[in-house]
Amino acid sequence: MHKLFILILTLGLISCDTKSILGDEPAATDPAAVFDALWSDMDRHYALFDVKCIDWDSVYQVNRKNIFNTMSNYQLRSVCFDMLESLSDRHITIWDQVKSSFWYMSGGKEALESAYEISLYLIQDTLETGWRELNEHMFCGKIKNHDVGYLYIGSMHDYPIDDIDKAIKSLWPAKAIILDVRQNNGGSLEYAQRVAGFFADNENLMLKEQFRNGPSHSDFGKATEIYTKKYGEQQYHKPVVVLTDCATVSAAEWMLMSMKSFKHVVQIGDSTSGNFSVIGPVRFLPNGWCFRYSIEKVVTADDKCLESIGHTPDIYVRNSAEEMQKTNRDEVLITALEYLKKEHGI
Amino acid sequence: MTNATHGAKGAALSILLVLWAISAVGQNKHSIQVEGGYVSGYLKDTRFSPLNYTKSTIRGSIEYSLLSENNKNLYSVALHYGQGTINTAQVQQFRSQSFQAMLSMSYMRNITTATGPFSLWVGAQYQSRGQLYVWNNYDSAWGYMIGHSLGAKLAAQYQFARRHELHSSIAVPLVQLMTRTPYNGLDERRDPLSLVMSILFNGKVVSMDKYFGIDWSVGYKYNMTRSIDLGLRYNLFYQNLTDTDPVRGLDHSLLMNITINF
Repeated sequence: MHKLFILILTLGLISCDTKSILGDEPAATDPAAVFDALWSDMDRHYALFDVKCIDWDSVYQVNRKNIFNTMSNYQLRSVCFDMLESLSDRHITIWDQVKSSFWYMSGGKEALESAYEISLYLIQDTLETGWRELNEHMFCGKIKNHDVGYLYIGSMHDYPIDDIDKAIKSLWPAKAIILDVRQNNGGSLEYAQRVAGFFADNENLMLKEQFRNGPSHSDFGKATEIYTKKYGEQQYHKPVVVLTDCATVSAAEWMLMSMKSFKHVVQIGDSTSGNFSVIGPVRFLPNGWCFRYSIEKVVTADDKCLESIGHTPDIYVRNSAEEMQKTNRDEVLITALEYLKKEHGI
Repeated sequence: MTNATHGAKGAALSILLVLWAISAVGQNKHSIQVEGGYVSGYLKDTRFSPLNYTKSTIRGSIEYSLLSENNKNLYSVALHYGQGTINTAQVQQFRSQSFQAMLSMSYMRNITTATGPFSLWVGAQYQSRGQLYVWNNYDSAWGYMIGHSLGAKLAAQYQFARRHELHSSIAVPLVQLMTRTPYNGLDERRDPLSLVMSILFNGKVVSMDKYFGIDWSVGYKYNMTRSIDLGLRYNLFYQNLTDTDPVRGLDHSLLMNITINF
């Protein structure tokens, strides 16, 4: 009783000081503390060190040398970018929440450059009059002089999911469908499953996922299996070509995990980005920066991990930004039409 | 998980039956207390954030008590809810919403002479206490900690004048089922019902070696009429979880209450 009283009294007396109650916290004004907080949080939670064969301690040693007390915020962020770039993972982002002075994505350079290798206007010119724009990420129509439906999906979120239904159903009578997910920036699993569900020929094992659940790089929870789900009263089993590029990422790659297991689906274009994980919650740094990262590993039905590899196309073709401007030709789309003509006579 | 739900339902039903049985036997004293006030405190949940936060919350509660005819047995059921914000001194933009809720049920026995001005009570308490903090929205960052605990409770009352009373109580959880935000914010995909059940009951049992909590109150009560009391209470709640990602917190609450006796 006596001890309890002393404890209560002590708590009462020291409770006017946050630090004495809660302990130390990294200081905003100390670049080393900010850098260490970032490195340490990644070390304890990021899921793909082993998959990517990254020695995170070595990465620390290399970059920590460049941290000094008098460095500017700009210099500090450059070192942090270098450290995060070593993981080359588009699901790693860091930004300044206070000043909005930067937003950085690891491994995003090639994807950004590839934005010039597709022209939506050029594609829209190849569609018959009456093509529909369902939302800012999606349009569909019939290719001129071909009985082929075309659907562009640039994102797997931020629009009503029923738009997917409307678009695919409008293309139903076509003899083949080209599903273009180049530059698709990902989104939600639900959208990925909805798209794939329209084309499903079976309830296939789509992927297995495991979330990191402990401080060791090899701590993972039990694997959860995710299956392709048929959607709608009937599925489209005529030929389907999926167009991809190196910016096709995340939920769009999940969709491909389903689609590639269907016998009537072919992938044409470039390899996809190779970023399959779910992104974790926002993490905080004392200087007002925030960051997020991958928190799980995903493997295919036959236990292959495609992280940093992506889905390799059945037919490889990539537009050159310069050539496309000169010739007004989308070689990826043209290759898809040639494939449909050659293989299916469409 | 199903067993835990059934267990909780069974415990609640048993307590209600006991309360009903006691009230049916003799002239027991019943009271309902409504209380409200302000909570100021400190919080650090390293699974949510590495930063130190201060807390500012408005809290309300309702409590039903039953005192047996011979002034020897006291049964209480209380429900608390609080809502406010947590803030870091370093970054204003990290201000997050904070919610807390608590259900507690206690039984205490008077170990002193029932008629004297001073009385001392000892007993046990079951408590479910939860705290939740959300930054921006649930897709951005969130953290929670819920404990279903069994603990010891000690209380004292001193009536120093005809209408004036001082009282104090202290409760310490001894063992509890504790659930927390999954290690990486998400541990597997769940349907909404399964997610709620997981948040409530999918935890681990911890005792005082891992979690130390103390809930101390001191208050004054003015007996305005035979059936109405007015009161003021100060509460201090301290918690310290030493786990993979430690949690530490301290709340000071200043509360006003009105009690209706019948």
